[in-house]
This record gives sequence, C-alpha cells and structure tokens, in this order.
Amino acid sequence: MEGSAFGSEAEQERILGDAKLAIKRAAYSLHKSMEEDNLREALRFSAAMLGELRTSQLSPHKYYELYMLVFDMLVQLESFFGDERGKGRSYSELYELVQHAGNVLPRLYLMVAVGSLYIKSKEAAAKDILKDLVELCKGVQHPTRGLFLRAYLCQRSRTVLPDTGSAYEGPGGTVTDALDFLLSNFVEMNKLWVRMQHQGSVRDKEKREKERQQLADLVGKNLTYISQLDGLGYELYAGQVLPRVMEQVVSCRDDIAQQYLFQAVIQVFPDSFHLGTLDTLLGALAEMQPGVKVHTVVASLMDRLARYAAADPAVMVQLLDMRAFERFRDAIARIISAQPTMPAADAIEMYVALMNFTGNVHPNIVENVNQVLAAAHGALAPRGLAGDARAERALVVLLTLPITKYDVVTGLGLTEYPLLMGLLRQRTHKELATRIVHTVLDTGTKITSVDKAAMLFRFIQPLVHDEPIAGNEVSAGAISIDDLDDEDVAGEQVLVARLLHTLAADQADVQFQLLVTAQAQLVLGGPRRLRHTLPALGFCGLRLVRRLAMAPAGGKATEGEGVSCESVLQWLLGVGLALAEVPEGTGLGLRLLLAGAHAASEEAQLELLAYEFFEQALLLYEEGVADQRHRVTALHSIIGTLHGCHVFGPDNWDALVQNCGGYASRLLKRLDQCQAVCSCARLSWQEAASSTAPGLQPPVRDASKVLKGLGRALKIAAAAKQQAAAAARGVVPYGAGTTVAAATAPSTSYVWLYVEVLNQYLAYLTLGLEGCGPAVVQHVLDLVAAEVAAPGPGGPMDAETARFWGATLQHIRLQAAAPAGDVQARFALIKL
Amino acid sequence: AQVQRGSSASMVLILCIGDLHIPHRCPDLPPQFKELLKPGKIQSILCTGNLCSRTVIEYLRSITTDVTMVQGDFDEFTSPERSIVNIGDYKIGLIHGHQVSPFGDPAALARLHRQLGVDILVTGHTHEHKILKTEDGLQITLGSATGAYSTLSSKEAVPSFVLLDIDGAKATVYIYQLKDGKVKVDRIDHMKQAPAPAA
Repeated sequence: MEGSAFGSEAEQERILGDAKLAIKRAAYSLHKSMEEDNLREALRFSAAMLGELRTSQLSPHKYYELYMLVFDMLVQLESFFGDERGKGRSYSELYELVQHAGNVLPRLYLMVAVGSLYIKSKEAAAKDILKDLVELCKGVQHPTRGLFLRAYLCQRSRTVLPDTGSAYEGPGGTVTDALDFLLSNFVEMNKLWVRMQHQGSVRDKEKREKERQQLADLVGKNLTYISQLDGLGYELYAGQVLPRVMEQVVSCRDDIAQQYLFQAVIQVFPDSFHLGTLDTLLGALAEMQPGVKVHTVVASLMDRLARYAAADPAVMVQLLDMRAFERFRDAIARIISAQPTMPAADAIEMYVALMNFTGNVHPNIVENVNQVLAAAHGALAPRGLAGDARAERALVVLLTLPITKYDVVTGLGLTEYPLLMGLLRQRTHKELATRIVHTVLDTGTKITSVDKAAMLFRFIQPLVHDEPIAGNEVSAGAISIDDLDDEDVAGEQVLVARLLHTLAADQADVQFQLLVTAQAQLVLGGPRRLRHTLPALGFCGLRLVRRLAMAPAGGKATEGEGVSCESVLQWLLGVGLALAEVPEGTGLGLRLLLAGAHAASEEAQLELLAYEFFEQALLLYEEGVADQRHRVTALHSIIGTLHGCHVFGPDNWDALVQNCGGYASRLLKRLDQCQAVCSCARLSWQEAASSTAPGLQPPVRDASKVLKGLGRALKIAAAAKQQAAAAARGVVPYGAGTTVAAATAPSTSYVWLYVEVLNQYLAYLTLGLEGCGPAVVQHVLDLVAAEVAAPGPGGPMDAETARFWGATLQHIRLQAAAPAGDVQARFALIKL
Repeated sequence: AQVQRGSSASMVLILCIGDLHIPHRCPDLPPQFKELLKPGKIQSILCTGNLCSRTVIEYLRSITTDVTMVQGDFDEFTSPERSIVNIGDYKIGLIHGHQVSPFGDPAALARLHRQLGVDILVTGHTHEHKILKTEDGLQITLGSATGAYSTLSSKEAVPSFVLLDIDGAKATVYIYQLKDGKVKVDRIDHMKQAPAPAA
C-alpha cells in the first residue's frame, strides 16, 4: 500500500466518519456482551472494532482520531479481561484464546491487551511475553498501523517491565530484558515512522511531513521509558543504550527523525551521562543529514552542560579536565566542513553557544573567547556573509557577548575580534563599533598602553577611516566617507573625538606615544573627519604640556622620559596647522594655535616657540579668515591671548603688538576698529603673570602707549563722524531713526564710539594709570559731551546711544558717591 | 531680537550654562549634572557658547526647547555674537566673553554691562565661576559645565553651572559645583534696583 495517495480531504472525512460509526456500533455490542459476561461475543466484537484500524486510506492525522476512539474502548476491555481470572480462567488460556482472531492487527492488539495482564499475574516471565509481543508486532509493516500498534504496546508494557527493583524482576528477567524490549520497539517504531514519509502523493509532502513530525513523541516515549528505568546506570547507558540508539539515529538518514531523536537523547538522559559520552554524541552529530539543524542540537547540549556545571563546581573541574571546550570547538569545525551548505547564521549560532559555554564554564579563560572568535573567523571568512541579514544579526550577537561579559580593557586583548568584525557589512560594523565606543565612554575606561590604543582603533576602524582591515578582503558593501553627509560625519567623529579623552597613560612619554598613535590613525580618515577630531587631539596635547610643566622636572626632558613640553608643543603646532588646512578648519586651527601660544608662554616659558605659534596664527588670520565677523572675533581672541602672555622680550612683544594694532585699524567697520584699537591699547598695561616661573617677564606697563592708543580710538570716532556727515549729504541718512539699531547689535551711531572710548578712559582712571588723571578724563568727557549735545549730521542721537551715555554718567556719579578712597577721590573731581 | 519670557508674576527657572567643550576638551557632561538636568524643571536655557559640537545643542534642547545661545570661540557652528533676553522684570545680556580684553576682567565686563544696558550680564570663557553684585546689577561669569581644561587657568577647573530663579523683581542665583564627585549648591539672593534716574 505504500506510495499510494490518500483521497481528498472530503473523501477522507467520509471514510473516517464511516469507520467511526462502525467502531461505535461494534463498541455498543462489545459493551453489551461484556455486561452479559459473554467472552466469546466480546472477543468477536472487539475484533470487529479493531478491524477498523486496518484501513490504509487515512492520513496519520485522521488515523490518530480513530486510534483514540478505539483506545478508550480498549481500556474497558482490559478491565473486563482483568475480571476473567476471578472466574477461573487463566491468562495463558486467555492469551491463547485471543490468538484465534482472524486478522493479524486485531489479534495483536488483543494479545498486547492480555499480555500485560498475563505478566502482571506472574503466570509467565515478563521477558518472554515482552519478547514475544515485540517480535510478533513485526507482522504489521504498514507504517501508520504498525506505529500505532507499537505505541499501544509501549504504553501497555510500561508498568510491567522487569526493571531493577520492580515486582517483575528475577524470574521475569532483568533490566537488560526491559532495555532490550524498549530498544527493539524503539528501533522498529523509528523505522516505521521514517517510512511514513513515503505514504501519500508527492504533492502534499510538506503537509504530510508536518503530520509526521507530530507523531514524534510516540517514538520518543520509548527513550523516555528507558531513561526512567531504575536499573539504568551509566555503564548500561554508555555500553548498550546510546550505541544502539545512535546507530539507529545515524542509519535512518532522515532529517526529521535525526533532529528529533538527537534532541530527545540530550533532553531525557541525565547530564552526567552526557559528560562521559560527549565524543559519541559529537561524533554522531557530524554524520547527520544536511537538513538537520545540528547547530540547535549542539547549542542545547552546550547549554545543558553549562547549566549543569553552574550548579556543581566539581563538574566545572571535570569539564576543564576533559577539555570539553576544545572538543566542542573541534566538533563545530568538523560539522561545518561536513555540511558545506549550512547557512552561515546556523554556523554562527553554534559559536554563540560555544561563547556562552566558555563564558559560563570558564569565565576566567579569556583566551577561549579569542579562540571562539578565531574559529568563527576561520569558518566564515572563506565564504563570507554575502549580505545575509540573518547571518549579520547572528554575528552581531556573537560579537556583543564579549563586550558585555568582559570589561573593555580585557576585551581589547581579543586580537581576533576586529578580524571577525570585518566580515560584517560596513553599516553593521559601524553600529557595533559605535556600541564599543559608548561602552568605553560609559564605563569610564582608560586606555593606558600603546598596544591597547592600537587595538581600540582596530576595533572601531570603520568610524576612523575607510582602509580595509589587514587580514581581510575589502568588506562587502563598503561605504566611503564620500557617501556620508556632513551631519553623519560629525555624529561619528564627535564620538571618536570623545574617545580620545580616554587615552590616559601613567607615564608622560607613553601618553605622548598614545597621542601620536591616535594621530596616525585619524590622519587616514581624511580632512572631513579630521575637522572634528583634531581639536580634541590638540587639547589632549595641551593637557600633556600642563602635566609636564607641573612635573618636578618642569617640562624639560629628563633621563628616560623622552618627552618634554617643547616636543609636545612642536607636535601641537603641526596639529594646529593641519587643522587649519581642512575645510572649515581655519577658525578652529587658529584658536588651537592661540591656545598653544599661551601654553608655550605661560606654562613652558618657550619664547621662540610661543612667537612661532603667534606668527602662524597671525598668518592664518591674514590669509585664511575672510568673513568680516570672523575677522573681528578672531582678532579679539588674538589680542586677548597676547595680553595674557608674559614670555616675550621687548622686541618680540612690540612686533606682535604692532601687528595686532595694524590689523585692528584695518578692520572694516569703524565700531570694530575702535573696539579693537582700545583692546590693543590695553596690551600695554598687562596684569601680573599667574606663575612666578623664572622664564617670564614682568608685566608690560607703559601708560604713554595706552594713552596713545586711546587717542587713536578717538580719531577713529572722529573719522566715523566725518563719514556720517558725508553719508548725510547723500540720499540715505546715516544713523537716523531708532529702527537702525537692533537691540542686540551695538548702535551704528558715531556718538556711540565716543561714549565707548570715554568708558575706556574711565576704566584707566579707576586703575590709576599715570597720565590718565581727572584732568585728562575731564577733557575727554567734555569732548564727548559736546558731541552728544550737538545735533549730529545724521539727526538726533539714537535711543541706544542715549541710554549708554546715561549709564556712563550714572557710573561716574556712583563712583564719586562711593565711600571715600583713591578711586572715589579721582571720580569726585570730574564735573558733569 | 529681544524676547520676553515669563510674565512678571510667575516664577521662571533658567539654566545658565556654557563652555562644555564637548568633544574638544571633555568627553561628556558629568553624570551627576546630567541627572540634575532632567527635562521638565527648566523653562529656559541661556548658553554662553563653546558647546562645541552640534550634538550638544541637541542635548540642551532635550532639556527644554527654549534655548538661547551665543557664539563661543570654539563652536563648530554659528550663533549670534550676543543676545538679550527679558525674563520677569529682568533684562539679561548674554555674551561668551572672549571678545573682551583682558579675559574675564570685571571692569571690562562692567563696560559691556553698561553698553548692553542689562540688569544681569552672563558670560563665560574663563572656566572659573564668579558672581559679582556691581553698580550695574549682577555680573555672572559661568564656570565650565564640564570642568574643561582652560589655558587661562592652571588650576583644575571645577565643573559648574547656574540656575536662575526669577520671580518678578526677585532673582535667586543657585551655583551648582561638582567637588570630589559631590554636587555642592550655593545661593545668592538679588533684588532688582529701582531704575537709575535719567541723565
């Protein structure tokens, strides 16, 4: 009958309906005859009922329904048989009697039903009856019929096995007989189950296989009962059970059976047994059919053993002694090479399980993690992931485990990690790299050696540059920086820049090497990335300068320490100039050079180097800063920085101050000129240096130069007035109306400039600058007051300037009214 | 342009913050500060600049959408050079501070104060917080919120920011500093003076 197709669904329903009806009718009569205590009739009707199970026209699913119906009746029949003995009929007689049934299938069902009672009565040895039944059942070779018959046999015999310590042991046999019985039944059932796939048409194979899968537990029951035998010790298991089970599993060459049974063996038998039979299990795994999901089997085996070990330290030692990790590792490699068509994701899942295994069993052996990574790389690199999304996800899971399990510094010891990472598509690779950076930052990890720094840069390589990783081919789907917009580049590089602050060696020379190492990597990333990373690199350098300057050696290179303030500053000069070269880097480059200048002056007391920094900054200002607003603020930064520098001798100082003055008077707007010139004037009246280092000069204090500068500022105000007059003669009135002055921008009125310069004089009056006493200030005040009072060329003064003027007068009044003192006395002499 | 925030009757909490220098000089804001600066408490942010990357703007905007920023010398983006904000009875001027010389000089800042005609002047740049009551009003110099390295001072910078609590004419300044991993809060009370008589 094998190979014949089942009828249509409707047809099967009809056949099933008919059969059910027939069973119910027979069952009714059977019931009646049992009530009447008519054994002969009961046997006749039960044979008729069981005869309905002889059909070959039902799919396993429908057949199961039929079987369950019959099964319910069989339970009643069994109890009827049970009562027969009391009526003087022996079971051997009954066992004989039921064999008169005309058909083989009903006959065997009845024999099984009576057989268990026969054993229970101890009229016969359990082993004999069981052997008899398990052999006789071979008479039914139809897969569905045979499988269910044997399921019944298995179920009925369960309580009468001659297990160690059971009532049926001894004359009834030993645990070996029980095992023989269950194993034979298991082997036969599995054969029938496997053959079931050939039933029905090719068309609905998928549905049939699904149905077949649902019957797996019928076969598995045999293994469950074996595992529940009290007499089953390790010797028996390893010597008898496992070899026979495995032989059947391997030789059946069926995907579904192999998958199910392997899992069943792992699940039902104790972990301690698996420890001893690991090689058998792993060896058999490599012989599985290609369709078997071996990876889930290996994974569950490793998971179980890991859990087992977690509960018992002795097991942990045992696993270590038996080199379980290495065995799993090698088995996985064998499985992968034996199954060339295995999906990459499945292969990776085995390594995930292996990673978990070693993490749980040998948490301290970090080298094992590295070995897992190496093995995974070895297995995956030849075929690549080819953009397989499931494989990518699995690989990310694998690569995430070490980062979460170990601290970052330990993680950085995993030399194989970057290689494996390189197999990811660049987008995924980047995501993982980003996660690593966040981990480093969030955990406050410090990178203290050049090796670790180099390793870190290998880990986060796709964020840093587009070069392929050494040892890997160019990764699939590589994106270069040209494919990223500015926002993406900024987002990534801010992260890299933040990471630079985690470079922190104990020794200054190592710290310098760390920065140089980082720089070499960053440079590979190209100008668009450097724009965001070089400022941070520069400030790491400045922090190192400070550290060296504060050290006992005072920033000079000492024996053994090959780094000095000077060498770091020289390097920083290069960083600043490189920053100025990248697109939109001029402003930041200039500021970094100024910071370097200040450090060279105040912290390292290196006059020529400080001069060099200023010179380069001024050149940048001259050639690189075109935008007017940026010119103004950049010049303020230059002047402000220079004001705080005390290292310069008179010649160098004058050269720099004169340059600043030149740039100040060449600014475009009068207001900007005026303010910058005032700031330049302030350069000739320095504060004392904050340090008393021997290389520093006393503060520059030259009152006459300050006053000369202020005089120049007044001239600029006068020039603004003339300009306004000229403009007034034109069509558009200059400075007319109050709408011109936006509240946040200073007034455009020339009077504002006068008031501003007056405020400068007042500040020097407060300071007590020589040559800037009350008389001089009075003179300027009168001059400015006259400008305020006179109707200007542009019409009346705007409200903002009027307010500024009012605030200035109020300032003078308040200073004059302050408690008596030098400053108060000077202000009291001013007449408003 | 000038902006009016908060009616004079209601209380407004303003975060004054600046010189974060992320990522140039610091990887991040101290976690203790991040914990304090959760969204929901602060109505407005006045930022004196030097954030320095755009990602930090996003962070500030996550605290409150009302953020006023001025240009720092290391900012990688463009903001106005100065800004004036009206909150309660107060006119508050905002400028980074690298524009005045000498940097952080109280007299130079007072001049700026008069120029802007504000009640409170908020600046930064020096990375050392300093709050002065002057004839012009309050002169608030913010420290660096991250305690970033500064060339201007060789002292280890203390991370700090300021919360301004403005209730009509009353202003309370809370200075938050991070010392030895602990947040320390100081408070200064201030009352707006009657307007000066016109000249």
